[in-house]
Parts: sequence; structure tokens; C-alpha cells
Amino acid sequence: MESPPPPAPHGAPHRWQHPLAVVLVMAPILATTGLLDHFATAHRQELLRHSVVDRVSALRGRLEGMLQSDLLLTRALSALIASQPDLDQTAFTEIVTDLTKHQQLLRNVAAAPDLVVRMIHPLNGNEAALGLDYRNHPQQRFAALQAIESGQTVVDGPLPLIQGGVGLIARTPVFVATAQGPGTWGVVSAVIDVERLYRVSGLTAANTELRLGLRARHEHIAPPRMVFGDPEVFRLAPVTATVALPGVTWELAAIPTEGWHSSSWPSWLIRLGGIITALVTGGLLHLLLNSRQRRANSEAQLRALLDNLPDLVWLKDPHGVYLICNPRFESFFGAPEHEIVGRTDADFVAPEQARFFREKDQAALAAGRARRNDEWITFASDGHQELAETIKTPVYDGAGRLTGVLGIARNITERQRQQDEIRRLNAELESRVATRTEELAALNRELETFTYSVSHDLKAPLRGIDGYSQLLLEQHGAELSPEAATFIANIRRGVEQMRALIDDLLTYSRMERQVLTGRRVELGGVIEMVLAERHALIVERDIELEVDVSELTVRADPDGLQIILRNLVDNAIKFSRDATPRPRIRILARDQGRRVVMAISDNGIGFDMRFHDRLFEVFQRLHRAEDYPGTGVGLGIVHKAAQRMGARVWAESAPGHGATFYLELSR
Amino acid sequence: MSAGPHCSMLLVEDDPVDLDFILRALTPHIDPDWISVARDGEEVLARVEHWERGTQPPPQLILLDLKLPGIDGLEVLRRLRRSEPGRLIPVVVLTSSDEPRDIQAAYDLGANSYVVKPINYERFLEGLHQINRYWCCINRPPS
Repeated sequence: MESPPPPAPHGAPHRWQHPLAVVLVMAPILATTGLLDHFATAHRQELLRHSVVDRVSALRGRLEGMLQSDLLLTRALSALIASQPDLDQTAFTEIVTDLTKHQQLLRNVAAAPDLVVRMIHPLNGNEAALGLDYRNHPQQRFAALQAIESGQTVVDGPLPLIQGGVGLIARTPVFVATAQGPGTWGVVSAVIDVERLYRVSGLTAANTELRLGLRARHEHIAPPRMVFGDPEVFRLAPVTATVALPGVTWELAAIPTEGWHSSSWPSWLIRLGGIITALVTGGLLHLLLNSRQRRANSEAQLRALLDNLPDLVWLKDPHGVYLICNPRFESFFGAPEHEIVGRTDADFVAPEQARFFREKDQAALAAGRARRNDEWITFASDGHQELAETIKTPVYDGAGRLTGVLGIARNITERQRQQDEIRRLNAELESRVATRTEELAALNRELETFTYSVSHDLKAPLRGIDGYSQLLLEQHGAELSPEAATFIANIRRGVEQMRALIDDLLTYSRMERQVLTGRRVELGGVIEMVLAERHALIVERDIELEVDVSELTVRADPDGLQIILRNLVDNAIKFSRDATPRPRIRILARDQGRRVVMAISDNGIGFDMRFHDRLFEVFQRLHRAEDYPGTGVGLGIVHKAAQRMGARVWAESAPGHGATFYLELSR
Repeated sequence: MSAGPHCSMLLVEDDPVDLDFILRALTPHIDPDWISVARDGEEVLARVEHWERGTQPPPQLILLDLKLPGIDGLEVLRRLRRSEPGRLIPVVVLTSSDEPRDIQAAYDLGANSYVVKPINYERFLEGLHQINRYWCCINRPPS
């Protein structure tokens, strides 16, 4: 199999390549247009020239015909005079009338024997010309002599006439036979009305459709003299024709009124069409090049993206044939992209794995959406293995047709390893926690058993000591000294102290072990109950009591709250025993939004704030037991219960100024 | 105050001191012949068997300590309540424990009363007097 060449490097085309291509396409179109225009113009000019030539020939023919007929007339007249040299005015008129009856152009005809005008026709209006001696006339003298010398008709003019107007004068010499041989009789002249000639010959009319020029070139006289029209015409490549007259040659020149090079609509059409074609072609080419360049740019960007992705990326057609892949994928197959493209998995990996890949492709195709799977893959490039998370997605073209399967495989080896490690650590931690929890539960059970035993087994002997002391006193009192009776009373006080201690310790331990519930408790009710328990003592001590808890409710464990309040009230009663003038206890509660703060204050002995924190520790006493009997556990219980209920307890005091205990509870 | 002729009583108490005090408290009011004593759980269960077989009459009141060697008081109560003659006998639990847990368990198993033994001797005697007065004189058990 022939390998296709590696793809060309994807460089952006030079900046000027694109406009150059557009110019290269437009230029020949414009050139062709120019050429077409040129040929069309040339063809048109040819046609134009032909038509001008036709017109000029016709004009020339008519001019020449008319002039020749007049010249013929003067020659005929000359011949007649030669035969009758002695004719008079009357005969002359007769002859001329007869000869010119079909003539339109002749203004007059004169006969001048011996170069002096003697006869003229018509006489009427031309009398002034009679007696004119050509030999004495500066302008006509030369022409008249020339005719005689040449023996030919000589045409002169156009020139201003004595009678007025412009005329052309044809002079024909008349010779008569004498005894001495042929002799000169004189001259016959005919004046041709040039204006009329121009009009009748069609020259005047033609001059509106063509630009005409007419000039006369006299023999022996240069340069030619303009007689009609525009002298410019002769410099504009005119169509020319000559009218050869005796003694003078007329040159007729003509060009189209607009000149030879006037533009016409076909020419404009050709030019416009050419420009539009060039522009449209150039524009289309520009768009095409632009879109190709954009596509090339975006392909280059995609390619760069693909080449730099840390993942394996590939695209296969629906039949499993590779269409594209990136460098990471190349190292998986151990082959360059151009060898992979056009082949299938079976060409690179074991049949079993190829089948596996194919199954996953088909699963994605069947699902019509991305499918994910994890697999271990071995890189053919160096044999290392990676755990790959592969996502296969069917790819559709713009029209929704399936074009292939896109695959992306990410190396998740390290991630997997970390997850495994985390799982392992978690499992280890859980098992360790479970072990600890079990140990703690066992300890708790032991502690419970222990306190249970304390509750039963420590109390029973106390009851015995108390009971038998009393029985001793009752049944053998007579035999005992008063001192012995005192001893027995002390024993029983010790028992009472011991009982209180045991009860407090049990309460403390219960606060620590027991689950405290959070229930809605009405503060006023609990305080009322606690105070009722102490009613007798309060009356006995004459304590001034102030309670204001304004129907507040809190969230607390009822037992725990009761134990706290009982201890705080007991303390207040105990330490205000000797207050003057009388003991006073205040119990206030204040709503602070989400919390309720209670204050229990007395006017008792107070304490030094230095000992504040020690106050709430078990077995800590700030006063001697003889002065203020107690177990030293009460505030420890308060602290423990508050802690377990999520409440907070603290105190403010100064020695001799009473104490205030605060209890902050949730609502 | 004298006890009614039919107030037979079973004391379940392992502690000799407590037993002595209880008997001292009760005997001025009850004929000692009406009082029988069991020193542990096994002994109580043996008596229950007799009651079931009809070989001994069941007592009309049982004072039950909870902390007993071997089978404890709560277990005794459970088995008693499962037996036919023991099902309805009034049981007053008399114990040193004032653990809420014990109180709850005793009532759950069908105790009729729960009394914590006071340590003070006079209060102890007073309590027993009141028990006797209420359960033997005022209260009417099912016959």
C-alpha cells in the first residue's frame, strides 16, 4: 500500500497572495473587454466610413454633374459665337435664353469681345457690368487672360460679384477664323450661383448630417483656398473626393458630425459588461479565497489544539476506519498518523482488544450519545500502561448524517490510584473509629455499671450506720454519757454528708452519661417548682424574692434545667444566709432573640472573680465546709448539665457584694 | 394500727441490714407469720412455681429489691408478671437506686410502685409505715 505523503505544513498564505490572485483574474477579463471594444469600434468606424464614402461620392457626382453641364453651356455658347462673331445683344439674349432654359444655377452669362463686356443676359439688373474691361479689372484680368492663353475654359472663384453675392465664374475663350488664321474674339463668361449650387447639389443639406469641408486648389496657386464648410475637417482623417474642373480642383472632405471616435451604446455596453464581469469574478474569487483561508485557519487552530491535548483523541468513520488522530494516540499505536489513517484497530492491536474497541464504538453509535468506559491500555511506543477513561461520541455532519465516532481517552491512572488510596485510608479510619467507638462504649458501660454499683452498694452500708446509730441511741440511750450521744449525732451527720455527696456524684455522672433532649419548657413553671421545693427554707430565712421571667419558653432538657436551677437557687439561699438587712434573691429572664438569658442574683457574700473558672469544677470549694456546708459538686453539675444542653453558664461577683449567675438558653 | 388478717407479704431483700430494718418497721403492724422472705431471685421463682401449682398461696403484696445476687429484681418482676398467679399481685419496688433508667424499667415491667430507700433511719421507717398503711389497709387488691 502506498502511503500518502505527510500533510503539508499549515502556514498561513502570504498577505499579498490573495489580492494578487484577484487582480490576476480580473486583468484578463478587462483586457478581453478592451480588445472586444477595440474591434467593435473599428468595425463600426469601417461601416461609418463606408457610409460617409457613399455620401461623399454622391455629392461629388452631383457637384461635378451640375458644374460640367454649366461648363458645357459656356462651351456651346463659345462655339455659337465663333460662328456668328457679330451678334448683338438681342441675338445674344435669344441664344442664351434658349441655351439656359433648363439651367437653374446660372445667374448671368456675359460676352466680352476684346475683353470688354458688351452683352449680358439677363440684362435686367446686370447693366452695371456692361462696359467692364477685364484688362483693367485687377481681379478678373488674370483669369480672363489665363482662359485666352490656355484656350480652355477656366473656372474661377467663388468670388464676390460686382452684382452682389458670391459666384463661380467660368470663362471660355472664343476664337474666330480670320484671314490671318484663327483670331481671338474675346471671352464668354458664365456666373454660377454658388449658394444655389451648394443647395441644389445637396451639399448644404448634407452638411447637417456630416461635417463637410470644400476647398479649391487652383493650378499654379497654392495653398488651396477654403470655399465651403469647416477647414478642421481636413485634419480629421476625412473621406475625400475631388471634383476636377478646368483650372481648378475642388477637394471635398467629410467626417461624421460626431467625429470618427464617438462612443456608442454597444461600446458602453461592452465596457460596462466587462467591468461588471471582472468585478463579480474578482469578488467571488475574493470570497472563495477568504472562506478557504478561514477554513485553513480554523483547521490549523483545531490541529494545534489536537496536537497539544494531553488526551488521546481520534476519529473513526462509522466502519471503524481511522480518519484522524493526535500525537498522543500515535504513541498508543506506535505509528505516525498517516499510517493510522485509513486503517482499523485490527491493524494495530490484538484481535480481542480490537473487538472490544469496536463494541464500544457500536455501543456509542447505538446509543446516539456519548458512552464512557474505563480500560487499561498498553502503549506500543514504549510498552507502558495507563488506565484510560474513554469517552466515545457519535459525530454528525450539519445535515444530521452520521460521519463517525469521536474518541477521547484520558489517563486516569494517577487519579484512580489516589482514589484507591483515599478509599483505603477511609476504610482504615472507619475501622479505627469503630474500634475506638467500641472501646468508648465499653468504657461507658463499665462506668455505668460502676455508678450503678456506687448508687446501691455505697448507700446500703450508710443506711446501716445511720440506722444502728439511731437504734443505739433509742434503745441504749440511758446507758450512754451525754458525750457518747454527741458522738452518735456526729456519726449521723457524717452519714448525711456522705449521702449528699453520693447523690451529687450520681447526678453529675448522670448529666455526663445521659442523653439530654431539647424540648419546649416554660421557664416560669420550672422556677416555680424549684422554689416550691425550697418554700419552707425561704420562709424560715425571711428571704425577699423577686421573680420575673415573663412567660418565656426555652428549648431544654426539663430534668437538666431543673437540676441547674435547683443548684443555683440553693447556692443563692446558702450564701445569702447572713445578708443584711435580709437575704434577697432575684430571678430575671430576658428575651435576646434566639436566646434567653436568665440571671439569678443574691446579696450574699459573693466571691473573688479570680476563682470564676474554678467555681464550676467538681470538688472545688471557695469557703470552709463548716461555714457553708456543701459537697463542692453543685456548680460542677450545673456546668456539666449546661454543657450537655448547649447552654452557657457564667457568673459575676465581688467579695461582699453578692453574686449573679447567668444562664443562656436557646429558644 | 393493726394489719388486716389477709395482708400476706413477701419481702425480697438480700441485704441483712435492710431486711432487719424493714422487719423492725413492719412487725409492730403486721403479724410476722404473714411475712415471708426471699433472699435472692432463685428463691422467688421457686415460690412462683409453688403458687402456680397451688402448693402455696401467693402473697397479697411483694416488696422487691432490685439489686439481687444472681437473677436481679427486674428479671424476677418480668417472670412474675408472666406467671398466672403473679400477674396481678401488687409489687412495690424498694431499692437504693433512684436512677431514672431503673424507675422506667420497673414500671415498664408492671411494678405498681417505686420507692427509693432513704438513708436516714427515721425516714426509712416512716416510708415503710406508709407503704404498709396504703397497700395493706387502703388499697384493695384483686381477689
